[in-house]
Amino acid sequence: MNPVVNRVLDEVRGSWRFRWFGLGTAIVTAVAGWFVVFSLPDRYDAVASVFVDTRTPLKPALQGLTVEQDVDSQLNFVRQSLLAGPQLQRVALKGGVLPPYNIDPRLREQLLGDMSKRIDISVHSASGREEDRNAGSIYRIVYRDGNRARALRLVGILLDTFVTETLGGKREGSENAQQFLETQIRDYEKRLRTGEDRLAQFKASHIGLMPTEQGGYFALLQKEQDEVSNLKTKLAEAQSRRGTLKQQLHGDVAIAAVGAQLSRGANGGLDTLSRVDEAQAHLDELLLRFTDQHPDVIAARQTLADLKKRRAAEIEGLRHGDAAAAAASRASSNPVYQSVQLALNQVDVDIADLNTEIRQHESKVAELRRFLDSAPQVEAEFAQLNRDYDVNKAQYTALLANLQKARLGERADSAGSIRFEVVQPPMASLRPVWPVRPVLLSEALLAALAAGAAMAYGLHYLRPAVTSGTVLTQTLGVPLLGVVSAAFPERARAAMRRDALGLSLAGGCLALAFVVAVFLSLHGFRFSITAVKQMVGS
Amino acid sequence: MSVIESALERMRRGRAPGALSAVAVPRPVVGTVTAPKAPAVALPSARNYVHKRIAIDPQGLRNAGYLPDAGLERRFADHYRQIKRSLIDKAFSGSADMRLILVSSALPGDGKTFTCINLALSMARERDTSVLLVDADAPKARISEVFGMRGERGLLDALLDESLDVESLIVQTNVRGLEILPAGKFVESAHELLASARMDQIAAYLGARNARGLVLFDATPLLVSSEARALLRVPGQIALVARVGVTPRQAALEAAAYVHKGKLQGVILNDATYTKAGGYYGYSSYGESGFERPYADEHQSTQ
Repeated sequence: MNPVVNRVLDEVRGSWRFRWFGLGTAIVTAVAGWFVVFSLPDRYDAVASVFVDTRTPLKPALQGLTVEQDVDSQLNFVRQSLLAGPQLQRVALKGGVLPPYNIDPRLREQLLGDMSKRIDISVHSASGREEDRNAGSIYRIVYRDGNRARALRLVGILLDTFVTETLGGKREGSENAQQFLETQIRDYEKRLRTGEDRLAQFKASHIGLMPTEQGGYFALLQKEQDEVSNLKTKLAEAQSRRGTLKQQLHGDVAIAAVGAQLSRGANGGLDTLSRVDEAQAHLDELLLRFTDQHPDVIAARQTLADLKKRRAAEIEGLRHGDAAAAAASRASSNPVYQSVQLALNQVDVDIADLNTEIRQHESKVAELRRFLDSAPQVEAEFAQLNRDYDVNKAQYTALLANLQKARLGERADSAGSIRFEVVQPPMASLRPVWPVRPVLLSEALLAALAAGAAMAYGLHYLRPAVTSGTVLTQTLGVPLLGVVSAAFPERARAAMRRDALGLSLAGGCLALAFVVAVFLSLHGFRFSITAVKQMVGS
Repeated sequence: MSVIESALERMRRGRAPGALSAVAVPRPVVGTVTAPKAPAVALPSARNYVHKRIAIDPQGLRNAGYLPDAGLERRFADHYRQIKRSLIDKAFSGSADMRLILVSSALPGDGKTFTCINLALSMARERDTSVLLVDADAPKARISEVFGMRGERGLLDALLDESLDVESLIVQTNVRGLEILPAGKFVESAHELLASARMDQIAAYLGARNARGLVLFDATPLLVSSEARALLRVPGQIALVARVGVTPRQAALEAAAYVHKGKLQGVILNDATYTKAGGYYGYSSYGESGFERPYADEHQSTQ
């Protein structure tokens, strides 16, 4: 046979010698284990689940408008505060874990510690993916206790506390934030006001130097100077135009005007030119009928010459700008002449205006120039004041906006930006979740059988028997004289049958005891040492 | 048919030399002297004694658990033939004390007495040797008890009383070539008696009284009582019995440690269970729970 198999068989046979010890051990261990299993305290798990929705329809609408509060961390905070501190004590008092009267602090400490160990709060994402917090969270509160009713009651209290604390805590935090904002705003308001006062004072004391929309002092000065030079250029233009106009009026225009009148002669012979024309015509007529010596012709000739003389005198007069001459010559009634005269007058007015303006700007420039040394400093001071004011104002505005947000946020919260929903009201199974006695009983049985086997093997290991004799003969260095087989197979068989009967009887008893134990466990049998003590005591 | 039965059969036929026994196997029997021969040591003449004779009842022995079940004789005869062969060979190839063979074991219940009786019977079947079975297990005197000689004077009496001739205490049996020396009355000083010079004397006498005779000592377990240890110096050959699956290996080794290396002839494994494959294994020990006494003790029946 395979030596390994042989060896294993040897060990099994060797252990088999101690089967009764093993079986005894197994029975004792099993019974002891079952007693332990029956005396284990029950544990009921009362469970409640809350769905905390942080993703209400309001939330996207309020995005960026309200002060966001980190709900998850707040819930965690609540969880921590539930499991430790005065919160726990309140729950314990409410749930009857702590008596309402004062007790030894150490005992209280122990009771509270014990209680906090029975509480288990876990968070799961409602979407099933842990990293996805947007879908809202499901908080599962578990309380385990030996008493089902108490477990249920405590989970109910914990659930209430959990929900109210989360809401209350939020409100309180929001109020705190608002208070803070308000004090800050008041503070900034004061600062702004003083800033404004100082700015106004400064402006009053540095009138004229204040930068305007067009720029600062230098820009102003530059502008004034530019203005002066600009005006001067315009003045020069106006003057040159005036010269030209004057020249036109006294010269060619006037003559042309007179000439034009003469040539036309339609104006009723009022002016000299038309009279010259008339005289010429009269003379020509006379000459047709008379000779040159005719007195009429001589007279006519004289008249024409006089008129021509007068005409020449008139033109001369116009040339020198003589108004009377012009009037006499009727040039002033000429439209061209008139318009030139008009333009000339306009230019004269312009020049006068420009001169006034230039004087004004020049005086301004002179005035500005007086501040050339002090102006930059004032400007810097002003900028400083302005900056402070601006910063304060920006801060103030921001705070004001935040306050509005906070108020809005609070209103949003009370309108349900966080929604709590009790998914599972406090619930506990009628059977204790632990110990599952049938399973534990079976495990105890298996363990006991293993212990029995280990016992038998251990005894065999400690006291190995002579088996094939090879070990003995090899160790001793002597031969094996011989091997004698069993002498009484009948008797051995009978003994074996008795043995087997005994073993199966004992095993059957154990199995029966196991069945009874399982049956009892299914019908709620408990073995409590204190109860036994009481029974013995009574 | 058992060894004893065939021997008895032979005896019934009037110890006729050459006569065929009732056994199927022809067994020529040479005339052997059942009376002790002249002793080599100066002792009171043995010839003068009329030895007590007992008849051995095989069925009684079997019921008492000292003979194998009917039907197993051939197999057991083979077992003991193997065992006795080297012992006998050595006994007649060395000095006189080599004919003194002691059988012991580590603990009681190893089947020592069973082995002694069966080995003695097997040796008695030898054509030209006889065997004297000495019950040296003073406290229990199992052999004396089995053969109905409890209370008979025996080895211890001879040791105690120097005037007593040990030859006169030897009991003859109806099995040819088998004599028995009972244990005698147990005394507290058994150890000292067995360790005394008188013991040496007696052993020398027993070894010398028959040149073809073997002396088989059934000793006490080595680890249980001190008597066997006192006796260990006497024989020239010592065999240890170990019961397969029962005798703790450590005990067997410790027992062997008491024995002088040169004298230890070997180990006899008892109560092995043969398998069909030809090997054997132990643990046929149903009815015992490991440490317990052997069936021989439990199923002791009255003679």
